[in-house]
Amino acid sequence: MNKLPHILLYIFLYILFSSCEHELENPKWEVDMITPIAYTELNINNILSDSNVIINENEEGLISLIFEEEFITMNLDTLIKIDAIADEKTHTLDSASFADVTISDTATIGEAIMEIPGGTLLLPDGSTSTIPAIQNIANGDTININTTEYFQTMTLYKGMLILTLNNGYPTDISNINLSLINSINQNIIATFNFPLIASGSVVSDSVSIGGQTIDENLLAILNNMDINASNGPVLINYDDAIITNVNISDIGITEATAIFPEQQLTENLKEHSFDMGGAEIKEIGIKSGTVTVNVLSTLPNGKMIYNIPSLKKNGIPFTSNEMIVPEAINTDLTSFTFNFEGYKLDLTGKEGRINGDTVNTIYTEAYTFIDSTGTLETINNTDSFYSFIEFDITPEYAIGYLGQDTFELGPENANITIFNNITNGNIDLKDSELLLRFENYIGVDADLQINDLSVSNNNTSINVNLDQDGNSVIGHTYQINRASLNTNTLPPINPTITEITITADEMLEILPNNINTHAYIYINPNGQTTIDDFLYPEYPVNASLQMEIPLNFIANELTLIDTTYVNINTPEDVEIDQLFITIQNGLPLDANIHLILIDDNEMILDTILGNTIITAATLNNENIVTQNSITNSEIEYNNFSEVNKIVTIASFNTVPNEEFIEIYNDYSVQMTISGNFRRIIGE
Amino acid sequence: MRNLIIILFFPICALSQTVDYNHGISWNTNFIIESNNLDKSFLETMLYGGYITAEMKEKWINKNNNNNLINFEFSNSINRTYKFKKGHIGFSVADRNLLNAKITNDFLRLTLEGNNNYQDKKLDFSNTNIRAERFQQYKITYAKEIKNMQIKSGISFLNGNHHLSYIIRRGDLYTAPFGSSVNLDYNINAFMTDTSNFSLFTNNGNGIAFDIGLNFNFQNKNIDLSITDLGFIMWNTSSNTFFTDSSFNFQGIEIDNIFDFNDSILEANNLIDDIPQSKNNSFKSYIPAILHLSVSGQTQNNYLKTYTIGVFARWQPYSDVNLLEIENGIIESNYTPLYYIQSVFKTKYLNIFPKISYGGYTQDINFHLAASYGKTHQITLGSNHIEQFLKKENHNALSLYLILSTKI
Repeated sequence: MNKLPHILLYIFLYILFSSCEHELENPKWEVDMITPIAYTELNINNILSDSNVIINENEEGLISLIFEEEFITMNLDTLIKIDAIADEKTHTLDSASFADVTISDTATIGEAIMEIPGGTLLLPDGSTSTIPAIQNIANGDTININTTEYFQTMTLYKGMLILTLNNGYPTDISNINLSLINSINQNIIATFNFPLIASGSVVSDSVSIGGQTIDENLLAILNNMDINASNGPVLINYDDAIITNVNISDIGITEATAIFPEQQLTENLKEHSFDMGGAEIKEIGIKSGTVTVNVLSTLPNGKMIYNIPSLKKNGIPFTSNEMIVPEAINTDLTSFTFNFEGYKLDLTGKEGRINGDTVNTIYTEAYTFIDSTGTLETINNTDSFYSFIEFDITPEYAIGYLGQDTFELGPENANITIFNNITNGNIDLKDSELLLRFENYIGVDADLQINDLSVSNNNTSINVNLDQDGNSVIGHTYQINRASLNTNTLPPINPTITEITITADEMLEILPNNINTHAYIYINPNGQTTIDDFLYPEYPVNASLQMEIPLNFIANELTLIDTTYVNINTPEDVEIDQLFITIQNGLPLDANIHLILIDDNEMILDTILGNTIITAATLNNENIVTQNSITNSEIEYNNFSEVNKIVTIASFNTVPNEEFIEIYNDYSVQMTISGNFRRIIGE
Repeated sequence: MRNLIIILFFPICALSQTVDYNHGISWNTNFIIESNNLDKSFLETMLYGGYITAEMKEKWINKNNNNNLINFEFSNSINRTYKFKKGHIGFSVADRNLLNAKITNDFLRLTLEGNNNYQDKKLDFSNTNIRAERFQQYKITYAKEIKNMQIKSGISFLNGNHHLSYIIRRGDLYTAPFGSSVNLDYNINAFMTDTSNFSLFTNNGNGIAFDIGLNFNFQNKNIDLSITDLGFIMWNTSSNTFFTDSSFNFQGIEIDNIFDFNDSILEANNLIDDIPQSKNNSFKSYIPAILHLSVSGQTQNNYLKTYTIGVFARWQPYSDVNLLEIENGIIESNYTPLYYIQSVFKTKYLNIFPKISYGGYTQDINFHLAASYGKTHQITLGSNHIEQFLKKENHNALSLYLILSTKI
C-alpha cells in the first residue's frame, strides 16, 4: 500500500489546524455606568447642627430651637473653704523632767571594829560590852556612788542633793563631815556636817546643785566621824550599820548624756476658730481634704500625738496615733498627712464647753513626748520640738449660717451663634420666648436684681421689656426661695425653681449675635433665720438663659452662608463624565443654592447649581408637607480633586408667601450625588 | 477567567472514533462554536479578544432574539475497539472543554453598555445562565448483538478539572433617573472550582456517566435509540458556591456630610459588605447528556443509497431534579431538539456525508457535510455548519471535526 498520500494528507491537516491557531486575549470594551455615590438625609437636626443649639419638639413634632447660655457662674468654694494653719508651737527641753537619782551605802559596826587593833577581842560580835569613845574613826574614808544606771554626765540648771544618814550603831556618833565630789575632776559638789547623830536616829541635809556637772561616778568622802562611848554595856551586833542615802531630785537639765525615760513633754488642748467671713458654720462634711502635721525636732527620740475629737468618721474621732519624729538633720520638717475624705467636722467647739456651742471652731489635742530609746542620748536645753498643723479641707456641704453676701454677675457679653450663618433677608418669628431660669440648690433665701438684659447685632440693640407678670425686668427684685434638704434624693436637696419668661419675637428678629447680661444676687437679704442654711458647693444656683424659637416663621430671602472643607478624590482608573445631584426637598421652603468651589489657594474654581431652584415640598391646606419635591441637577464641574472647600450660599423663602409655616421633626431633605463613569472592561 | 478559558480550550490530543465495529483505533477532534443570534464577530471577539466598538455592541444588542445562546465545545478523544462475535468492547479517553450560555439582550446591554442609557428603565436578565467546564472522560463501552438487536452500554469515569457557572433564575436592574438609586432584584446561583490552581489536569472533582442504547431493525428500517453521557461531576469542597435570592437597593454610601467623601466611597468595594459572600462547598454539575433517536433505511437512488432521519436532544439540568421535573433538564440545557436527515454519497475515493438539520443551539437550519477517505486507514473531515462558509457576513456558527481511524 502506498502510504505517501496518507502522510501528505496528515501533514496538510496539521498545517491547516496550526494555521487556525489564534492567541487568546481578553476582549475589551467600554461601559458607561451611572450609579449613586453618596447619599445623605438631612433632617432638621443635621441642618441646624450647632453645639449651642438644642433641637426640641413638642407632642405634634413641631421643632423648636433652644439656645441656652449659662447666666450665672457662682464660685461658692471660698465661702466655706478651710485652708488654715493652726497650733504652731515650739516645745523646748527645759520643760523636760528627769527622774530622781537615789544611791545608798551601808557601813556596818563590824567593819569599824575590825579596823581597831584587837577590837574583835575587846568587842566580840554578840557580846554585851561598853563601847568606848573612839575619836576620828573615819578619816578620809571613801564611799563610791555609781550613777551609771541613770546618766553618764549631767549639767544641771537646778536640782537638790539630799544626804540622809541613818545611825544603826548601838551608840551615838558625832562630828560627821562628808564631802561629795566628782571622781574625774575631783570637784566638790557638796559638803555636809552633822555634829551628833544619836543611836537609832536619822538625819538629813540638802544642798542645791544647780549649775553643777555631775559625773556618773561620785565619791562620798567621810572626812571625820567620832564614835561616842556607849551608855553602859550594849549588845554588840556586827551587822548594825550606818546607812547613807544620796538623793538627787528636782533635776533641771542644761545638758545630759543619759538613758532618758519616756516622758511627755507638752500637752496642748485648745479650740481653734477658722475665719469664714460672715459665715457661721456648725458642721462641714468633708468631700476631700487633708490635715498635715508638720514637725521639726532636734531631739533624737521625739514623738507626737494629735487628736481632733470633733472630727469623726462613722462616729470614731480622729487621732493621729503616735507619730515618731526623726531627729532633724536640717531645717526640713517631717510631715504627717491624713486624708479626711468622708469625715464630718463639728465646728461647735469642745464638747460640753462652758459657754455652750459656738461656730467655726474645732477642738484639738496635741501631745509631745520624749520617747525612751533604751540607749544613752545627749540632749541639752536648746533642743526643741516645733510643730504646726495645716488644714486643707474642701467641704461636701456646710450647715450653719452662710452670712449675708452679694454676688455680682457680669457684666457679661455672650455670643449667640444660632444666626451666624444668616447674612441677609428677613425672618418673622412667632411665639419665641426668652426664659431666665434659676434652679436654687442652696439653703438660703436670695434676691435677684437684673441690671441689664439685652441682645444686639452689629447695627442695633434691643432690651428686654416686661416679664410674664408685667414687671419691668430691669431693676425688679425677684425673690429666690431657699432649697430644702431631702435625705431621700441625691443630691439630698429639693431645689426651688424661679422662672422669668419674656416674649422675645422682636429681640430675635434682629438676628442678634450678642446677648448682654448684668445682675446681682443677694443671699440672706433678711439676715439669719431660725432655719440653718446649707450649701453643697457642687450644687449652687443653676441659672440659665434660654431662647426658645419654635420653627414657626415666615422667611423672605433668608440667606445663609456656610463653608465646608471637603476631600473629594476619584480613583485613577475611573473617568467621571458627569456628576448629578438629586434633591428630595421635604421642607416647605423654596431654595436657591450656589455652591462655590474653592481650591487650596483660595481661588474660585467654579460655581455650581447656580441657576437651580429647589422647589418647596407640596403642602396641604394646613401648610403641612404632603409630598417631597424632587430636583435634579447636573454638576458640570467634575475635577473635584482640586476642590478644598465649598462655600454654600442658600437663600430661602417660605411657601406660601406671607403665611407662617411650621417645621416638624419628620421633615427632611434627601440629597444623592450620582456619577456617570466610563470604564474599560478587560484591561 | 482568562486562564480558565485557556485551559478549557487547550488541545491535548485528537484521535478518531471508528464508525463501524472492526478492531480499530481512532482519534477524533471536534471544534464547534455556535449561537442562535450572535454572529461570528461576537464569538471571535469573546474567544480571541479585541476591542468591542459601539457599532459592534449596537449590532449585537439590536438583534430581535432576546435569548442569546452560545455553545462552544472543543474535545479530543482516542478510542480503541475490539470486535468479537456479535459484539464489541471499546475504551476511550477524551478531553472535553465545554461552554454553554444563554444571555438575555438586557444582560448584554448591561454588560456591554452599562446602565447609563437605561435610566428609569428595568433591565431584565432573568434566565441567564453561563456554564463552562473542563474534564477528562475515561469510558468503557460494550455492545452485544442479540438476534437482530444490538444493545449498547457504557460507563465513564470523569476527572473534573474546572467548572464555572452562573445561573440567574431571576434578575433585573432598575436605574432611577440621574442614577440617584439602583435597585437590583436577583436570584443567583454561582459555582466555581478552586481558583487557586489552574493546572490543566488538576483534580477538583470526580464524576460518573452512563451510556445506554438500542439498535434494531424493524420493517427494513434500522432504529437507533441511545442516551449518552448521562452523568455528573461532584466538585470538591474547595469550590466556591454562592447563592442569593434578594433585592438590593443602593442609594449611595450614606454619609453625614454630603461633601465629605473620598476615594473609599467611589470604590465599588464598599458594596461588598452589602452582598452575601461565597462559601466553600462541594457541589454537583451535570454534563450534557445526548438523547438520540434515528431511523435509517435504503433508497433507490444510485448516489444516495441510504438515508437516516433522526432527532438529537440534550439533557443538562442546573441541579438535581426529581422525576416530575425531568423535562427541566432539556429546557435548562439551552438546546432545542435538533431534527436531521442525512445520507451517504459514495465515490471512488471519497464517501460524502451530507446532512440537513434544524434546531440545536442555532435554532435554525444547518447544513452538515463530511468527507471520508480511505478504507483501512480512514480520514474524515467535516463541519456541522457548512452553510457558514458560504456567507459573507453574519456567521453565527463555526465547526470542524476530524476523525482519523485505522482498522486492525
